[in-house]
Amino acid sequence: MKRRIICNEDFCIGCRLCEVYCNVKHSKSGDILLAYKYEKEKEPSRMAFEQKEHVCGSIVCMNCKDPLCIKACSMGAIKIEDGTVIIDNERCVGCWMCVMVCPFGAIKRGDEKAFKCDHCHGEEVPICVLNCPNKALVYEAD
Amino acid sequence: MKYVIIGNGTAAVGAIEGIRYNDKKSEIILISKENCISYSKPQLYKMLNQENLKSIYYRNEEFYINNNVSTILGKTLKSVDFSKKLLVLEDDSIKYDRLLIATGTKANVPKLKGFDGEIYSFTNIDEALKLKQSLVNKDKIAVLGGGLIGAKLSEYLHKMGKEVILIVSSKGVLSSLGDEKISEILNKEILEKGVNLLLSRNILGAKKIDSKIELKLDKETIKCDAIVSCKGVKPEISPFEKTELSINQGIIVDEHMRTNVDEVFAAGDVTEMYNSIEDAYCNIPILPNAYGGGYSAGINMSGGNSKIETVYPMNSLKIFDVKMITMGLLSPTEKDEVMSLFDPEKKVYRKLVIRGEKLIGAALLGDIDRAGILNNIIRSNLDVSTIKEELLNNKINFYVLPRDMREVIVKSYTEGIK
Repeated sequence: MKRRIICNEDFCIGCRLCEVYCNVKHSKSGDILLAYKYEKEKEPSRMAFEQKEHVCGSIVCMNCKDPLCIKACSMGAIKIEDGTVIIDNERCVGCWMCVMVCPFGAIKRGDEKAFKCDHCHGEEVPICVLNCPNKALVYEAD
Repeated sequence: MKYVIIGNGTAAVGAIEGIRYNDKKSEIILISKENCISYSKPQLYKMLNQENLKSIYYRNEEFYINNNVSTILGKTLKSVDFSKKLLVLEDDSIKYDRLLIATGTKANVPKLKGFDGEIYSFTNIDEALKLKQSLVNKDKIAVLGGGLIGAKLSEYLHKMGKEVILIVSSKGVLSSLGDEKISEILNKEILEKGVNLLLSRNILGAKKIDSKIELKLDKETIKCDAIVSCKGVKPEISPFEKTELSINQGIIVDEHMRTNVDEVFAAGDVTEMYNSIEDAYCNIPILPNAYGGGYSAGINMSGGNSKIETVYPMNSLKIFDVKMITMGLLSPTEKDEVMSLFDPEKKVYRKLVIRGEKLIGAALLGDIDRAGILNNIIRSNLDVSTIKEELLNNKINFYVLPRDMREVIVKSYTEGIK
């Protein structure tokens, strides 16, 4: 089982809608206005939109074949479940060893806890891919 | 096949998971002198103000049962006869087919002239609990050594309301990292937060006066209630000292975690591995190496083929409010190019060490996000001639890397292609 969100940077137009949809999806309320007005700081997007001059794209966890984050986690809080690398929020202590080793910079720092893309909790297609207007984001699952 | 693992730390856990990846059935016996399940060494500080050992467990209690591992806990290995594949414990002996040595490290506790009282250390649960119990009626604590353990322990003791005197022989804390700026920033932080930091001090001796301790330094004499030694750690090699095992500071292993003795592997803090940046065998006692080495050893012990490409030091730590991540070599030689920036207002410091257009070391202080991108550049030996300015000055960003490089990185990590 492999799950990956790949960004075709030739198609990415830098609209950052992936971040917006991701924020809302992972917010408490699930409502765009409430999420942005009251919850944004607590639930930042799991996407890392990046830009360098005219090149841009979004990077999320690539679910590496042999994930370095699992080896580096000081609490043993990271594991692979159903093809997706998962951080156990209860056990994470925010030591940032995962941030230190992720080659894509895909693990973000929250309030004392690390978090990352969860492929929308195993939904068939992640919300960012569904809503990418120029179809730059592609979901690969096999 | 009968696998025996000596030790119960991160490397041992990695090895169990590595062995079970290939071999679900064979017997695994784990022997440890510590009488508890595997816990996270970097989180040991939490034992001082938390009751529950569970909060620092590295795996859950069912781990050993789920992986069908027989544990012999609280028993010390006395000696080994490699020719007979025999391990001698205090009151028992055990045969092995394949052996993993993952005994970790032990504290380096100096002798203080004229002092016969207790010197505490802080490298395992027993030591931590012993210190915790003694702290009940002690308020003024002298911590010897400004390395990682000493600095972090000082912070914790201070937060518990103790008066802490941190005594360091060099010019700054964490001086072993080889970066004066980092030491300078941390010195300032520790002082500002209220720890009494004494730098460039040699300890001449100590003596007990009633319930107090008088600690004699070269520049002054201080009074305290307890002394904790954090003068580093050394590999726990004592059961193997008189054997044919190849040992320098630690046990020498190759890239497959094999020792010089047939069917004997070693992993974790007890080992020395080849460090490509230093071009030498080094003891690098950090958790990612322990798990990664243990896992590779487990794969190789059970008939697979796993090779450790490169090891070098790296660490993520927070001392009071200063967060930092360091990777690779930070003390450059003459042939190296050093780039750095420092913003005292924002408390941000970044340093890159470059040798022959390859990044060999990096430090991020304050802003540590996406540090792994730099770490991968070091690990993969990528050319940074066109991007080094940007790596130093801008937000670290995957798209700073040229497209062909990015595509190779994605492929190599997702498909495991080198």
